[in-house]
Amino acid sequence: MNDRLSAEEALREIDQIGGSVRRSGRWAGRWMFALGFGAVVYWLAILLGGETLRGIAGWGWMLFVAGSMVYVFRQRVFSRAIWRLQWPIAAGFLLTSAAATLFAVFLMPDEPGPQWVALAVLTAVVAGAPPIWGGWVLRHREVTG
Amino acid sequence: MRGATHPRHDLDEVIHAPVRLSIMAALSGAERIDFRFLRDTIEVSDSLLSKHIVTLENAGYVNVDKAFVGKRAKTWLSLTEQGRAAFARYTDVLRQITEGATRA
Repeated sequence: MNDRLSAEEALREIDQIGGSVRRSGRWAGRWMFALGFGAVVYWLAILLGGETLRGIAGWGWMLFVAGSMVYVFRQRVFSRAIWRLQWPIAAGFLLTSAAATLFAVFLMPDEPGPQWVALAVLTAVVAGAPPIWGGWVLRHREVTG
Repeated sequence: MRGATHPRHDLDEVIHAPVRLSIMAALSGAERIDFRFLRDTIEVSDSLLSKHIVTLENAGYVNVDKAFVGKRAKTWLSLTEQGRAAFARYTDVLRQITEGATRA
């Protein structure tokens, strides 16, 4: 690299390096989608599945959470968007997960009719909604810059 | 320089050096970046990067945050608010220069 940069060279360098770093920060949106859709699948299995499926879902979710912790820890770039959104999304996810747990423990009957099945599907979708929303917002910001 | 009106006189000399410009450009694209990732991205040695980080840190543009996980140290770098504002001013001046050159 030369000791002196022209204005054009400097602007090109800013675009190139800034773009490269922004691309490396896109993992967060993909991970949020995986977390959200994983939560929907988990709650569907817990609320509507048999004992075996519930067991598989429980182990699968624990493995997913452990893998997520390693994955996030290994990341080397955190975008500005994920930095701002992480706490609102975490708080929302905690609330919807708590609501789904209460629904599963206190409300869901052992042999649900069609209305309870519909309510269980709704509960599962709501439980995964905060990270799905976060993934969508992050993806949208990547596209619009 | 007295009476200087060309926008190049407004260029921030702390930023307007190749390695420091690359550092600021990289950090402007994220909230925080790992030292080794930045080193690999802008293709410089540890010592050269450290030297320029110290210059930017002394100018109040960059924040250095060292974290230990077990025995492994991880160094996170981020722009301060002052650094972000200085970089925005710097890119504005660059655009003024290039737009002036286009019109001339």
